[in-house]
Amino acid sequence: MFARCVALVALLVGSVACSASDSTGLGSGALGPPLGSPAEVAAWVEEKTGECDDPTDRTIEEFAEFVGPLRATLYAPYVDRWATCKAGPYERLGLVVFQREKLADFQRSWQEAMKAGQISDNPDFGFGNGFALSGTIGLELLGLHQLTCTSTPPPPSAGHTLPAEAPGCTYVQFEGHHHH
Amino acid sequence: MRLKRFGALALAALGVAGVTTVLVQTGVAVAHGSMTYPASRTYACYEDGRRGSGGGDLLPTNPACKEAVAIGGKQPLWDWYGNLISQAAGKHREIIADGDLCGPTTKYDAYNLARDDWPTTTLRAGSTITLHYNAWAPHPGTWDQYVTRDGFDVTKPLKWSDLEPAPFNSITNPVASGGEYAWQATLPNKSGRHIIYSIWQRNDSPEAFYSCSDVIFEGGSGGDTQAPTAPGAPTATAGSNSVSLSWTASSDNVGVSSYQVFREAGATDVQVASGSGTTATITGLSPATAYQFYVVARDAVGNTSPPSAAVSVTTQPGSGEPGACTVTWGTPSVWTGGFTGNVTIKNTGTAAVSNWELVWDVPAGQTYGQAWSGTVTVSGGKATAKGADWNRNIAAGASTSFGFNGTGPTTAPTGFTLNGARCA
Repeated sequence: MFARCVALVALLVGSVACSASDSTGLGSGALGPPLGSPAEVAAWVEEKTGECDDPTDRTIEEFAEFVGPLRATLYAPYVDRWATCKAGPYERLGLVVFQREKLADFQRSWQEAMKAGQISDNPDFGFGNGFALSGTIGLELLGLHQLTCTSTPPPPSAGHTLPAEAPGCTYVQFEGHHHH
Repeated sequence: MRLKRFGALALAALGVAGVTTVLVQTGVAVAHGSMTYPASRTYACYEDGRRGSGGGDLLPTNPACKEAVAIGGKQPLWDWYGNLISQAAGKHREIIADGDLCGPTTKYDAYNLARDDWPTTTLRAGSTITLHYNAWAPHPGTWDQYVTRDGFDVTKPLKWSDLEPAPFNSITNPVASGGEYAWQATLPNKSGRHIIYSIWQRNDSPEAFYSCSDVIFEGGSGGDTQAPTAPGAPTATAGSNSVSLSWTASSDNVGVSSYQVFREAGATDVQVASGSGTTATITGLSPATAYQFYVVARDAVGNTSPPSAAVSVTTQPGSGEPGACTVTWGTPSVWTGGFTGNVTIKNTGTAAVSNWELVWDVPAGQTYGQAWSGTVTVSGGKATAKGADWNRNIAAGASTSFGFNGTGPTTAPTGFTLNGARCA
């Protein structure tokens, strides 16, 4: 386990990923601690970063206002609850909890939108176990992953990689930079 | 206040680094940024939104900003400093399509709207100003500032061909202070509505940031809008680690003030020398390697000539003399029978090293396993390390690092060569 942790840390996978082997199954279940409410996500961010100020529960209408109509179409049907807090440079960092049983549907929906030319990019949140953060600064260092749903294999710079819930989608970490 | 908060997220990184020093030694840090003067579209709309809401929300009043929020939501304004592509690696013109320059990802796509009512900053043509660029943490890299050509129409989608061929200002590793970079730049001699397009390409990762600043140029230095003619094709004399270039002068209605020498490097060429004369010596090159160089002339108000024809030249084979590099070896983690090795390469030359390849003699008993930020293979008692896609080039004066897990003694290796040149 120690050697595994050293290797993973060397790949810039955060402390959460070091405990990933304690989780079971594929997909987001292997991304660290399961967090099922915005309050839990806020507490986790606070624990990891030392701040998640002014956590505020938000409505799904506010979510659509936050991400805009196109991304709301793709994200919102699968969001359970969300909140925001202030952390790092983020005046509003989204703390998004997904409906866990709908993660595969969410990913398939995104795949289809990309195939249809509705959207050109992969999801732009940083994903954990059943949740995501809207920001990117330093978040890969928290053990969060980018979700890719293209047929292109991860580039050589990719670090920790594991299959997502939907076939063809992958959770990936990259070394030395942020998600977008 | 923002610095304090940034520090907290940086602390998360340091928390991981506490497990091992790999994070620090590979240069991982956090950085996002955008131009704040002249204001980028996202920053200008963010400030407009703050004023419109009176605080606590973002309610822009500028029509272009309002439409951008209607299309893309408020998040791109809350995250006004995050207009980036994480895997750019200098391939800006290959991966960003015409029309997408101001917002190359879905999140920021609304900031590509071809409208003439974005917030603008009025500037005096030909003057020297201080550019400000927000950054949450210092990060090595190069900023290139381009301006749109004469006749640019802001109501049409911005294309790469709308930009002048060479940046009017470039800077590498400016000093960061108080959460921002600031440096002086002489503005080009332009008139009316234009866009200043800034690209920040980090050299410690493939990540790059993009910003469009809408500006109006007024005044100027008397209306010199005539660019110098193209310099003559350079002639080249090659050594093993350097190339000497000379070319015939450009002509200009007022006078040529400087020449810039560029090395062709794929989609984004690298400026390797500048000066007022018609000769230059490019150092820090790799032996037995093919290069192409060309020259651009500028006049005092920033009018830029077409590029000269390029010269192709291959450097001489290495002589075994020390090259322009140093190597630092470290073992941040050691356990029974094994260790983590970290290697930092510093390019001490005056030109970038492309597609670096570091070779060394493997000490007796050492074997190497998993590597990161590069690959390591061993054959015939020699180890060969190559960079990953995002760190395969090392700018002049810059460093890059890679690491690996090994077994055997922690003896420091010797005999390092970088692209065939022995490191000091």
